[in-house]
Amino acid sequence: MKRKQIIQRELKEIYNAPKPAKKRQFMEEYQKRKEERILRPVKEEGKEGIEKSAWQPVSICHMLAIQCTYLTKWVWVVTAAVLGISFYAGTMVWTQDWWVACASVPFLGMTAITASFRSQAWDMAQLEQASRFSLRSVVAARITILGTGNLLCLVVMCIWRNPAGGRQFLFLLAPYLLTSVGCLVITRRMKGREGIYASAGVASAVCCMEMVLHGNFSWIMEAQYTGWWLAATAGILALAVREIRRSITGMEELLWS
Amino acid sequence: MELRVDRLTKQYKNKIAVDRVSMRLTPGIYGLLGANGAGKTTLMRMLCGILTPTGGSITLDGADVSQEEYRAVLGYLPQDFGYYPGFSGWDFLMYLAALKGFDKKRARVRCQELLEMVSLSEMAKKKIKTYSGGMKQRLGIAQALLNRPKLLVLDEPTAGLDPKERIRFRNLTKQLAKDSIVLLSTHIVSDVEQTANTILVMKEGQMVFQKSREEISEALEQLYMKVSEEIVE
Repeated sequence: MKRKQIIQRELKEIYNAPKPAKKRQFMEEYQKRKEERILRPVKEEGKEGIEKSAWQPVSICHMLAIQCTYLTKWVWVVTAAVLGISFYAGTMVWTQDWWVACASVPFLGMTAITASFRSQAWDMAQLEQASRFSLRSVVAARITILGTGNLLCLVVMCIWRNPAGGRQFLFLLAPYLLTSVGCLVITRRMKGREGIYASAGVASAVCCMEMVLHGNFSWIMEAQYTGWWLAATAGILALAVREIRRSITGMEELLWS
Repeated sequence: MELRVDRLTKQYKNKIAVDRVSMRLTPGIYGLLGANGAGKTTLMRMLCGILTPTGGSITLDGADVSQEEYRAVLGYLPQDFGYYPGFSGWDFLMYLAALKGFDKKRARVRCQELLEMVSLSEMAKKKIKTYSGGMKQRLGIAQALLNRPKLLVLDEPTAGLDPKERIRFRNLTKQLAKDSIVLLSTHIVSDVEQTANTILVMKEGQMVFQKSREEISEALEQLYMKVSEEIVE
């Protein structure tokens, strides 16, 4: 070991490494080439050595998966809270405690609409629209994901205690759709965070309306009025579809006019 | 590679924002100048597929602006942009990389490279709301470069950048312009004077001036003032 160290020392003395020269120029050149590599478009060779485009088409499923991953935490929190409140509401004898579920469902509608149109609220619309997919596709994807998810929640809430609960589904769907319609109208007219606050106001108003219905007009939930509920829900559903179409097709003019 | 814009028009109810603009752009830097309300941003938005033209067409090597093939090689930095609350610089870039079709592995490598290039590596995990204006702008530049764009549209890219960063940005665009078309809109004439190969001037929705830098003998600011007052043939 000692002999090795002696040889190493002697070799260092004989073969002095040259002092570094032009270090700054070298680092600048290195940085420049690194940037060139980062910026240069990628060229790939296909068959027969012919240069082909480096891009690959991106599927709708991929886009849906991205939007699922990027749903905000408060969407999940609100959904879990609404479900939790509904399941916790006593024995869920539908004439007595069902109104608790009906009164909390508007907030599901609010989260679906505000989360779907959040690009406009947070000024991300231009950046999203300059990506692979149009803004309409992104918004439509969010509405699909959240709408389907919320619908499943309503179905679960409905059959949890009362598997034969067809009417209960109407009592849940009507306030959900009514809130969605209100929020869609608001997001078209009010840009930015004011739109989100106003949507929360709409959800609260529908919630209060449900409580008033239970308190003073609870007879409306009896079996003989099912036809009224069916008609009202169908009407609100038609309105909701119309508003969604208006919001999506009129998106460009609303944003940039 | 060629970007063809043919009689592009954008008309609103009582205003023509872009009026039959035609141009052919090949790799290089194009400086787009014009007064406020001249139609520069509207033109850029149409080139990025954000606005639908009322008339005319836009194609890049034969691919129309509405096709995925066009958008796949497009990079855009808007004049103003926001961010989702709670996003850090890293989250922001990863989200946009996902929207541009990157899988997670490639996105991570690419975001790291770009954050290093714009000197934001140390701030990557911090929330964007803590960023200064210049940092936010650098983040915007990074997202525009995610997919190694062949067409890069930059709207006021140097706003908020300090002089050192401005010089770095100019060098960056010069490197990009070797293989890509860079369209740069700015009010800072010096940015364009030192880097642009071609100067474009818009006035009241029309392209009133389009010449290469070599053909312009006078100072750019003087030329711009002259063009703003009259149409130069």
